[in-house]
Amino acid sequence: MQRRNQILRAGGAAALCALVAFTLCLPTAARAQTATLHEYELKAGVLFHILEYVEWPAGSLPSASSTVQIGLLGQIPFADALQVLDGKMVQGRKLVLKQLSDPAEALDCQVLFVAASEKPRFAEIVAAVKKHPILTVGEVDGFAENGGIVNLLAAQNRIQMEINREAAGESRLSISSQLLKLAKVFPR
Amino acid sequence: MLAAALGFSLDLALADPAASNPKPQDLTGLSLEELLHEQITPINVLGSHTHLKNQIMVGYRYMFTQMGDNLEGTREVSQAEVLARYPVVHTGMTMQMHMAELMYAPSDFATVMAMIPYEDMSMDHLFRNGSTRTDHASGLGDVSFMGMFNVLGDPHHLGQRLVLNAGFTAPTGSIDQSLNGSHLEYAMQLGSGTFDLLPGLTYLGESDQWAWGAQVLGTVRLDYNDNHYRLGNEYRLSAWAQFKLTDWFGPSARFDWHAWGHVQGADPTLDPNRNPAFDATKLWGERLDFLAGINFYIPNGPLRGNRFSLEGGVPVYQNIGGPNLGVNWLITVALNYTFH
Repeated sequence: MQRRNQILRAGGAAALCALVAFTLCLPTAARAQTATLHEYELKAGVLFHILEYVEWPAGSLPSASSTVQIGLLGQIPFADALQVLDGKMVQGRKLVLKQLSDPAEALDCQVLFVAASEKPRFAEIVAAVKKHPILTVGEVDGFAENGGIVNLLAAQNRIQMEINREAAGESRLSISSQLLKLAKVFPR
Repeated sequence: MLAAALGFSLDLALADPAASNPKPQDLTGLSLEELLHEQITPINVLGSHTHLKNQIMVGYRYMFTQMGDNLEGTREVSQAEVLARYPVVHTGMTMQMHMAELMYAPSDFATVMAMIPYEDMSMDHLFRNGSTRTDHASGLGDVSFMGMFNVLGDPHHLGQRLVLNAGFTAPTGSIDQSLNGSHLEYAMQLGSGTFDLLPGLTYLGESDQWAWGAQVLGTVRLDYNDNHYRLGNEYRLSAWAQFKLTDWFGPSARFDWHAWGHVQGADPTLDPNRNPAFDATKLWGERLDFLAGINFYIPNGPLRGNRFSLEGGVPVYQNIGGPNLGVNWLITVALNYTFH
């Protein structure tokens, strides 16, 4: 029994070492992705419906059959999930997604999705598009409170929608009261 | 198994996360209300140790431990050898525990829980004259309360987290279990007789397919009880991994190391020369268990939201003061239900 226990002790110690190594190695893949694919699938769906409730000012869209351009700014962990919107029709207009590298490129877009990676320069981005009829959409805490129009926040395991009505007004965008009912509205 | 475990960990570490992701679903067909109600991380078989705001979990856990061989340190001691030194030897013991669990999350970052145990134990004795006797003890054990506080990592997302455990047990379990007016062994008492602190730290990790974690948990005795002793402090270190084969089924494996110090003071009614389990100075030990489990989550139907798990294991190492009974095997069955 003593010998058996010695063997088991050595085996147990080896197993523990292996488990520690395993625990250290395993999270490498997960570390890179704190967000999930499903989160962005939901954000894509929510954004699609939001566009049904937004009116752009007359003349800001070139023609009745023109496209609605959605600019994606920053590093989106699961950008593929947003790509499902590409080619879909909203209010008789075709959605077109394009990746942007600079906020100035957003002036051709009707929607600007600002990834969480751009948080350090939110103020700069919002200021660059503020007076233009561009629906800014963010995804981190404080975006709508600080001048962004729509925030799709992951909180309490769900997507929560925040809308800054004042910022929408400054961009001459009209947001349906039906949409506002489902959102946390700023300023309160 | 370990080689396989290391193999898969390296595979995961080297894998490109984007490449392993399935094709995104198009959810634009759902209504806005449905999308806002949908959970980001759908509940599945990978159990969570903490909960999100306003979630309540009720659970039942049954634990069975079978003890058999007498050990002194790591050495197995025969019954004849024990009987040469003491008038009685223990030939077996079973411990059963029925535990009611209640968890509530007042915020996304804090979960509180209460555990109410009912214990049922029996111990077999063989005396020098050849006679045998089985003693029984059952009743409410020590009720414990625990707070779990997320201190690192985001509980809304997959990834890694660190959770601080802070709890205590109340001395609701009897320390006067007796036979014919004489106290039974320390191990046959239902409680510690003292308020005990339960400090700990839990590391949790979860990916789409895996959940893993480790926990260190202590039991610190605060005082001597009314029978003039205090049980030894206990330390527990466990590490586990669970694989999600489907949303409703996943096997798991766990190592659980457990150490406990000897009893300080002594129950004056227990003569350490009459029974090795009466000797407070010999009631220390450490044990490493390996446990394997199967876990189920019911995603649909009238029982939607229920989790069921079955875990069994054996010690791979035991070193205890003695001669006293070591553990042969143990099994746990758990059922719980989470709702808002």
